[in-house]
Amino acid sequence: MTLHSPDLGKLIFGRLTLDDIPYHEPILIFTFIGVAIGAIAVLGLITYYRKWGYLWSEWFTSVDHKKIGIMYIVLALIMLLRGFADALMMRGQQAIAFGTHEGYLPAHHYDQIFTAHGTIMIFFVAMPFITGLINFVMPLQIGSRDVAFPFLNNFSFWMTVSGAVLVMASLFIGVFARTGWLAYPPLSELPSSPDSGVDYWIWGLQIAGVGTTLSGINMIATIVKMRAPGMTMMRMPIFTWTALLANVLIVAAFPVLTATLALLALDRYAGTHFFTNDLGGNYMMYVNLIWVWGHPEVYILVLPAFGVYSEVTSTFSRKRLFGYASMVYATVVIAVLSYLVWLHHFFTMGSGASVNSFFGITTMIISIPTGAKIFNWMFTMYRGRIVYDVPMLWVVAFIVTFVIGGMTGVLLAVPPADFELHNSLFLIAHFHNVIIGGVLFGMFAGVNYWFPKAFGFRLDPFWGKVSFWFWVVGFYFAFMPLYWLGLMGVTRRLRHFDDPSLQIWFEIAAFGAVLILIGIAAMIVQFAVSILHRDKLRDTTGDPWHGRTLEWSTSSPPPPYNFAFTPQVHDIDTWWQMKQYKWRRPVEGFLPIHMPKNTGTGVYLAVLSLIFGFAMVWYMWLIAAISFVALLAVAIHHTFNYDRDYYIPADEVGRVETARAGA
Amino acid sequence: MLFFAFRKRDIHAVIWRDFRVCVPPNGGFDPLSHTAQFSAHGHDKRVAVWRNVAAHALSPSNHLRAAYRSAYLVDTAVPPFLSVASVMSMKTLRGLLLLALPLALSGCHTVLMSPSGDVALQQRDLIITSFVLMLLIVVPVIIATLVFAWRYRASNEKAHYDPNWDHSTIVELMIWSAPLLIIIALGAITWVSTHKLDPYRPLDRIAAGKVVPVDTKPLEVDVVALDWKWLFIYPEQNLAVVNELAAPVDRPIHFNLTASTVMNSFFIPALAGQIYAMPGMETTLQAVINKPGDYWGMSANYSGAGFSYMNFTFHGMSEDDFAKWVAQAKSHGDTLDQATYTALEAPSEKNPVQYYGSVTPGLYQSILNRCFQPGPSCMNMLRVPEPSGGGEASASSDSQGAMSMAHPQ
Amino acid sequence: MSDMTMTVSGSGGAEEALRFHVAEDHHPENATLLGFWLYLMSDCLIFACLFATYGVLGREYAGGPSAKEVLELPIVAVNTTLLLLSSITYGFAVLEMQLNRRGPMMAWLIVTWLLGAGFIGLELTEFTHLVSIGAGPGRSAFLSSFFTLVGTHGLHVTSGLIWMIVLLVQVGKKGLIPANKRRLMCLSMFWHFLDVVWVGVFSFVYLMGVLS
Repeated sequence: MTLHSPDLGKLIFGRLTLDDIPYHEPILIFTFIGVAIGAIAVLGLITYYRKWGYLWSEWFTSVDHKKIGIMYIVLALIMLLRGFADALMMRGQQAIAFGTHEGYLPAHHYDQIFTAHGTIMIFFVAMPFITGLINFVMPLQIGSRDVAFPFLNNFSFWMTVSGAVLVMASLFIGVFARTGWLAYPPLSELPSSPDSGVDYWIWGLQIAGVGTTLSGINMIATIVKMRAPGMTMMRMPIFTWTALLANVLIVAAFPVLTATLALLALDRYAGTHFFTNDLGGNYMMYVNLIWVWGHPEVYILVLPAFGVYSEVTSTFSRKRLFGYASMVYATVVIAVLSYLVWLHHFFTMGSGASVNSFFGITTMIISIPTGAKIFNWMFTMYRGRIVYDVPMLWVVAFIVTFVIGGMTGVLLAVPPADFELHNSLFLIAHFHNVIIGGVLFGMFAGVNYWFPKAFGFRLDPFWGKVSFWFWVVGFYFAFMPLYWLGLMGVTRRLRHFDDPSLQIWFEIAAFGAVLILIGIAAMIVQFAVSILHRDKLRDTTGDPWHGRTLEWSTSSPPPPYNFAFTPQVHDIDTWWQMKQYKWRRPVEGFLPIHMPKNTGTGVYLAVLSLIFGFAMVWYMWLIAAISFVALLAVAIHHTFNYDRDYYIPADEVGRVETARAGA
Repeated sequence: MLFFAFRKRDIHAVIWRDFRVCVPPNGGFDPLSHTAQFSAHGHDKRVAVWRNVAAHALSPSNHLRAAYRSAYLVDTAVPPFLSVASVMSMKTLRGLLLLALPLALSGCHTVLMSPSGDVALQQRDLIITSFVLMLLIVVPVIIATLVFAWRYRASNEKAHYDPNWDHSTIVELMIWSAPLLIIIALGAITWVSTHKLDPYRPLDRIAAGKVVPVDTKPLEVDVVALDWKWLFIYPEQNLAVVNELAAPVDRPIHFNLTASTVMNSFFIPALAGQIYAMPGMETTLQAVINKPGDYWGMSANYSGAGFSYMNFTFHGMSEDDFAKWVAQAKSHGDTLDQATYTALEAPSEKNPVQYYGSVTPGLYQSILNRCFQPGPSCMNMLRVPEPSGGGEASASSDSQGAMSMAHPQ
Repeated sequence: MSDMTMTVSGSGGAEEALRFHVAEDHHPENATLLGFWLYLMSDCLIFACLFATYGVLGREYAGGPSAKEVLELPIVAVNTTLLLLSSITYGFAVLEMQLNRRGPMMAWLIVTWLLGAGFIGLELTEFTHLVSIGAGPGRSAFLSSFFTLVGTHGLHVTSGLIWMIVLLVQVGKKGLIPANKRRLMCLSMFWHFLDVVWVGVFSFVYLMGVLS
């Protein structure tokens, strides 16, 4: 075979050409310059302080669940900035594009932005946030030294990063999908979306999805097998319960997403006819399948947040959680019901009245256990001694906000009402109301709550409160007008409006987005100030909030092995009980501790997956084949390594424990 | 219990009165200022209609006039602005309710809260009923949360502190049964209303208390969502229009909907709820417009680059005006046949209103069965005959069952 | 031991003793088999989706050949036999493993591998034949879903075969150490799982396709 140079180019670069670099779009160029300067600065600093070795050996290759959890949250925060930048741009466009004014974003750009905003916020902000919190907190709460499969944990994290990087790459190389975040066919099929956009979306989610599924399996196995002796299911902290159920939902839902994306990919790459208009394809099947994943996904996000609220409420109310058992049952019921409601996302697709009302009513039924949970938090506060540190502020804001979001959700579950409100800004307001007010508030509460556990010092409360107020007030300004606009019959994803009377509402919403921007900035300041003042904010007790569960029984930050001695559990609020009994961390009698070794394999596999995904997006078949084979080879090579663990000697454990006891 | 400490009856009275205020007898839409007028420049005209609607909605005098009229019909004792003022001053209602009421009030000029078609009107009532039902539990919860949060703050030494109180059978029973009761009520409403307002079900009334006369045949309209404009075919009138729709008031309309390439959603908020228009599939919408006027319609489901401009004007007209409109539209000589349709189908944005005085018979069925697409022949020629009576969830079963032909074997 | 047991007066005045940590060496149970089982369940869901897809699209012939016209039961019967037999031979391999007899274990594994390879070979033959008569996956939704369902199963069997080679090498090098035994048990679950899925494919796709 002779290779002429154009063929060679095609073989190596696939369909990628110089025209795919958006150098003619000033917004993207400036973004690129900004990102590049930032990246060079960060990389330069790391190099200057010679931290590469430290980062590699202590963080990137770490199999310690605490460090992986922290890295997940760092990823979530970084991606939050990207997702929020998209939100600001949309708000800006919608606030000015009226009548003859077309705004500053052409459809080509605007449509990518709302697709990217949804995709990034769900998959690369909310998901890493909850996975990160679960990773960090759950093993500590169950008195375990690590998760069941530490290497797999590291691998899952880097696969998530890979997916995020691939989605980010679409900013500067080619385009992202212009389909909406769930990429409904036939719009996402080749005839309507021939460029690289949907392919970025598919491979980004597919790669991240592998990580999510494996992490779900890992967490379930950890909770089932590695609880401390005495911790029966009904003595598990409520956050661990919600983590368990969220991960059960992950394992039961993400394969559906994997299969659905695979079928869409086959349509686009292999010319099959699953969701096409012609030759028997049926895109309504895609809509069903994607929501069979999509609805449980919502509960995957919100259940761990519920767990955070439960922990925070009882800790800061200085009181046992009200109705533990009913809290557990409510969570289980929500998890089960979440699979019976998916059709409420498309009442308007022509189903019969009985089908629609069935799914409408199952949806409403979910509000019963959810309502019970809200009452439980309320009655936990009742007759408590509530201390308003930052996490607790988020809880109160959550209850008020989430109740409103829940109410509009039930309203949307009434099919004839949904016929009017579906696809409207009312719907947009609703799900931001539950995802920001439910999930994100919970994550912020969680970050403020567990930060001292992770780093040994608290977050600065003043800036925490500034951030809190700007976020909450900004949220109401940004989304209450959207409920309104929904009632005015305004629908979603529009980049231009004829009716000038709508403009004021969009301006208010944009103002709200700016308030949230200040909230985010305050959050960054909060981190910076806290690090600067870390000595003043230092917590030497390991238990700054008078916590109730086992994670607070360790020193902060916990040693790599978490517990020198495995705890023995007698109550739901184990640590509270231990404090009642005046338990102290032992200072002698240490034994060697069995620990997993760090490995770089997870990083290698994820980098190869990234190359494979990128090559598939651009039809670089040769590179795709090579990277796939390399992927297999590295994975197999990893299985030949039997030397994966080591023992921390007893006197080393003793040294660490003594140092911490004296601190 | 603390939840119901406020005066429940007052709230209900106020809410209901205000919602009634929202519905002046003429729907808040003055038909005289919107006499239908023809214009070859559809887009300009749409903007003009928008301005009218907007001006109307924002005009306080119009609004108040309408409100007065209705309020006197409903409850002559209290002029509405007084009732508003009294609501504002009701200290007992505090917090959320004070927020909710102005919301509900200015909801008056939102199209969803004052629609002009009977179906949308029933949907509006349903939204309000469900909303009020849920407020029964949501308002107490929010108030109680804030009260507990304040009362049991650490600095309040007087509040009772009971650190081990974590269970109470009575309370638990209550917190499960309270939402349960609301959901039972709402579930029953849902079941009934979903069946009654099923978009496939032929209308049995054209307005409250007005049954459909026996001799009335619904107006048939075949709707095709194209990239990115709407095509309306009137089979009886042998007429096709792009981006403009008209129908006589008080006559049921039967829409059949499909699309050329991707999913869209056909939505005229003032008329009735939306329904998807999908390629190769057929959906149905039954509706009726009760007041003459110009209303806006759109695609509610994102469908690609030109989506933002996929709007049209819907005219509700008297029988006579409708006849005139049809005659005038038909006076445009163009015929919509396969060739003109294929040209029209090509993606385009901001299309002006366009009339076709005649339509090739069977054109809509051919579009529905994708006969004009490159590739193999029509879908209906390719399908295996299904045993009759497809599942009710299948939007395609209509076309499939109706169109199935002998399997070429 | 007194430092690990806390004694506190209970409210009733009785002395209760509670131990709050385990002073002995404590290892949680190994979770590998559970974890692998969970993975299989997630994989099972992928197959469930593909079965559902086939259920929806299996009669959308789009003017192309129908299941009855293209599916040949005799080949599939042989195929099925091969795969079922391979499950049995894997069972023998596990029995030998439990007796710690490395040689016979590896022999049975090789037999299993050959049967599996035979299965894949026959499947590939069937696929090439279908494509050659113009009944490839792009012809109709029925064929798309057929190729994807059967092909996904085939891909799983192929990865099982690769895994088997890897394990043969590892057992050859390290012997039947606990880690390898655990891996053999995982592959065993995987292999039987694929067998169960194939029974579904055989009855749902082939039998129902040809007999209906």
